[in-house]
Amino acid sequence: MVQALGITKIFDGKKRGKIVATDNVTFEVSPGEIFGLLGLNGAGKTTTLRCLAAILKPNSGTAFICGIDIRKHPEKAKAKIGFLTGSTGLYGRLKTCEIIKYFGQLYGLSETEVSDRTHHLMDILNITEYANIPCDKLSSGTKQKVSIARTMVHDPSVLILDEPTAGLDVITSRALVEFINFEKSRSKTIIFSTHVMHEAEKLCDRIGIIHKGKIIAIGTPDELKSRTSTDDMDDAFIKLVGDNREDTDDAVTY
Amino acid sequence: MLSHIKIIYKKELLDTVRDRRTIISMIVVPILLFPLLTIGFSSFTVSMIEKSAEEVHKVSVIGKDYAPDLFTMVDTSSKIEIVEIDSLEKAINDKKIRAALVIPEGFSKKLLAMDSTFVTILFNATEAKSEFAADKLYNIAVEFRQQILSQRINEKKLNPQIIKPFKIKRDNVAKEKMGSFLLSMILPYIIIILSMVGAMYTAIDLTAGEKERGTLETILASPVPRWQIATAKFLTILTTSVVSTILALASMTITMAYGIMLTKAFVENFAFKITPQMFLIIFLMMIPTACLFSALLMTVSIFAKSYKEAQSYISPLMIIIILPALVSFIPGVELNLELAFVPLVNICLSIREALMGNINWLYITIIFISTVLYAALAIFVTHRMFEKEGVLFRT
Ligand SMILES: Nc1ncnc2c1ncn2[C@@H]1O[C@H](COP(=O)(O)OP(=O)(O)O)[C@@H](O)[C@H]1O
Ligand SMILES: [Mg+2]
Repeated sequence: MVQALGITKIFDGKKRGKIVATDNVTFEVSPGEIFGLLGLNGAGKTTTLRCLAAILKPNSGTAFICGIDIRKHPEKAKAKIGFLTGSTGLYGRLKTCEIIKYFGQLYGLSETEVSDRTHHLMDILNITEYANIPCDKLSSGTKQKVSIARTMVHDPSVLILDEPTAGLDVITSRALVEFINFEKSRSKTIIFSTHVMHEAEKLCDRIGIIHKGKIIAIGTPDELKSRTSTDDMDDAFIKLVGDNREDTDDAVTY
Repeated sequence: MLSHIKIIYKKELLDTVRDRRTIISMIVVPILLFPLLTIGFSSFTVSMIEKSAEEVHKVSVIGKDYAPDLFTMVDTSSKIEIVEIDSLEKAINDKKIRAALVIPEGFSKKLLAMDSTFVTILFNATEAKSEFAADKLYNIAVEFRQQILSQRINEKKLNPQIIKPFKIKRDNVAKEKMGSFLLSMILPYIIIILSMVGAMYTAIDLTAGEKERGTLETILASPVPRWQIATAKFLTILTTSVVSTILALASMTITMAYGIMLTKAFVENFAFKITPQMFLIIFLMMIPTACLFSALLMTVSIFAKSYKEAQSYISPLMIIIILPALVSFIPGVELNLELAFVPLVNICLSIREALMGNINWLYITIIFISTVLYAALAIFVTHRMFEKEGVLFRT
């Protein structure tokens, strides 16, 4: 269960002045649900997800992860979260199994738990054969699988995925989508950001459209489409975003 | 709590020792630098000394017929070869000859008549070899003058003491040999540089490197407080710095101890023993210095977004650190109460003093404590930097 309550994050952009990256972002995601955060580049998706994952401190507002306030107990909240982005990397000189073990230890797993989880994850992700290979030597698809294993090592209740399919080939991308659906069936709370409309439509139970830092609409894909009287997600998005299309690369600047 | 620091520290160390660049700058360079430097330095100076002692200097004598006795003295003295030449000054500047003795017309006659006269020595003061040759000619001329004087005193039946009321003796009372004096100026500088260079790559790799590879976010998402991540990283960087320092010190001590086996000339000019006490004092001085360097390196490179950017910040930092370290090269500068508080200058001077066998515990205590304070300040700043979103997520 994730509740975002009025998350506002203001950056001090040196040349651009103050940037309101997220403005009073509020939504709720239940266990077994996939929530999609859909928005253009610079809309504030990454900032929202980083705030939820307690990597950034919001200027105002807060979030509850499984009932834990991220402002009061950021470490406890983080322990419940698996955080993965399309741009996160791996320690190239460490072997696959060493990386999974390292994060297992950081999330407080015991030695047996670490080795059980490592074997299990490597098995379901089909990367057992790479266990003793340094990550530098892996293909990008395999790397992302190792990243997934790293994210899932403590079997988190909440998954926060920031454009996880960015830069992946079709096969790895499909494997990732399957994995997300599998975790959904295990009653995980999943938040997923993307700027690819059809990806959101296919995968998400509900979608929040974020534009210039603000959530401008929330609903199931069908609701959003009927609300805008279209049968295409692209059209629905463009209608919702409406007239605010100029300077889409930037959030509101003052 | 401590377990998190331990987990991260162990992982960072493992990651570090697998990095070839770190291994070279942390282990290979400190071990090899001193033997190579000492062998190079000593064989260079020794060969210079031997060469100039053995070298035959070409000189010219103009007007030899005006002073045949003087000419014979020049001709028969060792390591001098007389060359006939036309254009003296040109020949000296072209290094065809190194110096020339010019005897004026009627020199011998004037000597007999006890008229005043002179000889001229031509040389090029910008050339060491020319000066060396001129010195030789000068000494021969002085000796010749001495002979003339003795003759005159004999003829007048005077007491020889008249012209030599007293002798002047020169006695070198220095404890050290010139070479060890030179080494004691260079060594602190090298140790300080090595302790910094050893930690440089690790500092970049653990901070800006993590940003560049996108691993920083994964560790920031983990349930570990930021200060613990910062502490673990600082300890890793410190470890590489301390390892470099210990290896450098050990290599230096062993090089000095076994330098005796290298060449006789080395022993005569350079060898000095690094006693366990010296070793301990230098080590004591270097521990807070390594803390200071590690914190500085980490502060600078956590600010950078990439490996390259970090390197471009560290180069000026290097120069800022080298400048005070250069103070140990200035022979006149001595440790005093004010200098004992100047960061790095104090460390350099105290190591220099220790290497020369001057141990002042008051200064050592002051320097140790003040460096610990500077290091603590730097570590505090590093941790503050690591808490700042604007630094960790700089765009
Ligand atoms: N660390 C930062 N410092 C300053 N501005 C930032 C920072 N991170 C993001 N921004 C700005 O905040 C806005 C939202 O960015 P982001 O959340 O990354 O959007 P998205 O992930 O949807 O592309 C953008 O204008 C971006 O330039
Ligand atoms: Mg983004």
